[in-house]
Amino acid sequence: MGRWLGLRLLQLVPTFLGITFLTFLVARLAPGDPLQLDPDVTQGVTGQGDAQARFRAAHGLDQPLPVQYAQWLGKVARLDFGRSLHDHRPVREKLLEALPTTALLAALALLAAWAVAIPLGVRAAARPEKKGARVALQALDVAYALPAFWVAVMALLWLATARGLALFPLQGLHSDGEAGLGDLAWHLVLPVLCLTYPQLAVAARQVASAMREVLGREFIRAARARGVPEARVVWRHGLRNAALPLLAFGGLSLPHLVGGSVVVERIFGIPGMGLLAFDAVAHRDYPTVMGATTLLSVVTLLAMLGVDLVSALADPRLRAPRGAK
Amino acid sequence: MSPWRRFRADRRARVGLRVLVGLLAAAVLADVLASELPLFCRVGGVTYVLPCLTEPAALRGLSRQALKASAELYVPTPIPFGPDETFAGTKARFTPAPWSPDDEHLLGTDELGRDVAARLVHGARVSLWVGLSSVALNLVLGLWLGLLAAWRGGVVDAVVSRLIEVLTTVPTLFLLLTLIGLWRVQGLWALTLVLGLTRWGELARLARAQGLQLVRQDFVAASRALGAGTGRIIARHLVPNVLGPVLVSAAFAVAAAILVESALSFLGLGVAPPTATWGELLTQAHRTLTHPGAWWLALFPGACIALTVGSLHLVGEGLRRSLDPAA
Repeated sequence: MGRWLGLRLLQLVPTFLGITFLTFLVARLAPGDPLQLDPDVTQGVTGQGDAQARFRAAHGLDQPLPVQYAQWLGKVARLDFGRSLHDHRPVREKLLEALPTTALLAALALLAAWAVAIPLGVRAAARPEKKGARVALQALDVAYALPAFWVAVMALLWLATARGLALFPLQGLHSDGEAGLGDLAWHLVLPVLCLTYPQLAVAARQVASAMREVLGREFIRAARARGVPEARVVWRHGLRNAALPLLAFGGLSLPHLVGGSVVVERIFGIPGMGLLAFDAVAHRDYPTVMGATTLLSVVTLLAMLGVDLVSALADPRLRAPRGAK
Repeated sequence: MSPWRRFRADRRARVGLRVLVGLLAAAVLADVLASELPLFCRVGGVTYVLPCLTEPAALRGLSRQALKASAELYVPTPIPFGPDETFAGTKARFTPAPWSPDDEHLLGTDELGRDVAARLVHGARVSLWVGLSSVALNLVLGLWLGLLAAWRGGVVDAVVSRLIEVLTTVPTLFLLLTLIGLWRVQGLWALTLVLGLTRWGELARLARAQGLQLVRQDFVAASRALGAGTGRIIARHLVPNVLGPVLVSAAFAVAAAILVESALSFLGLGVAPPTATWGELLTQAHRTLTHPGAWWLALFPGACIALTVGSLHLVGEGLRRSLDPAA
């Protein structure tokens, strides 16, 4: 197990370097100079060549690109993402404020996706002759085709504004002066819903096909022959053996959930990583953009590693070295 | 039964394909379906055929009313408005735009008085073009790199695998936000290129996994023994054998790319205005959300996107079923 984990961690190194290099190139090679583009920045350093040079030196913008990358990477390793070019706050501070929100959204959406997809998929696989689950699966397909931002706007219009039912709050995570969990949950209902439903169709199909495969195996027939109650056969014997593909699905859907948060956070005005990155791009705030993309990618990478780890703990066959035949 | 016969026998796939062909036809014929210039007209004894396509210089200076009044024969396009024409109707309006659907603007107008139906027809071009051509580029890159990795193994495989991992780990919208926002990518081609170059990871992963099963088989060894080079083995022996499952995935990828494109134009990062796109119309719907609630600005573009994505899904599912009858 230790050897497996070591190898897996070693594999992350090139991926991590690739992600940071990609982010760095995309952000730093972009046309346009932060000095000339952001009025907030230029106000402090207008005109004088001396002040501009000092600004560049202060942000390391006067170094050659490979040196900038190495310096930036060195700082990233110490979780130092520099200062925002927009409001001069340390980027780390801004990121750490936003990360828990997005992580909470993604985690809730994943749990919600499983909570709906598992019963539905299992039912569709265990009782294929019943119509209910099949129709529900098709309904999820239709739901998938609706763009998330459209559903979000509709949900706001009909469930949050005075034109509609006004059941839910319009924007943000908290009402003024409230900090309770109930208030937070109330604010999270619509965003989590909008983040979850595009995943449901794929998730339910994954569950159904994994279950179908397991339920066709010999040991299931043996269990039925022994007289194990059908519910126990399906939910215990079946689902346990179908759990691995579900875990893998969770890992693979994380980047989509996190990416989807850009749209959802923007529409619902939630101060998470998506909104942070969106605003940073609008202000051409390189350090924040790079920090946000890097941090999110690394967190996603680690979450996927976590999924692999759980799978490997559950199934020793996965721990065998990859090259072994 | 051959896969194609099975595909044609599949009712849902057929419906999907028909809707898709219809949407493609609308996109291709957008200039004939919705234009400020008519289909046919005769002015001063000169007959113009399809001026909406040819845009003859003689008609350019004339306003619609002047043209209509002076023409002996005037056959307008089915939607008699261009996508960028503002406040083009002749009815007296007493409220500011957007105007709700009526007999003049069948699907209403947007904030600038532009006809929604005309913009939807022209917007289909952007969505379908970006979806189809970016995935075509994904396919070329994904198939080639995935199969190259499977065939060569070793260092090539390691590099390509890491590259796939990088591309599939970085949350798509964040990468696109950075690329498009910082690089000020606003053209149709540039957007296609960006999506084409960044979204091939999944296809490459699939091609590699399928390729790994193939390269150990005898026919590959045989062609190698006959002296076939890497390029020939991949193009002639591996690609045809993995194309089926990869095409299924590509159909879903087109749907996903169309959703991503519309999300980007919703965020204001899509093809630059005034080009008509479906996502841009939805942005207006979002802006007018709190006051009058222009439902037609939200409903029709949303339905167009859903129809396109849905029919692509039916086609993808149909492809999957026809290639793998057991499933």
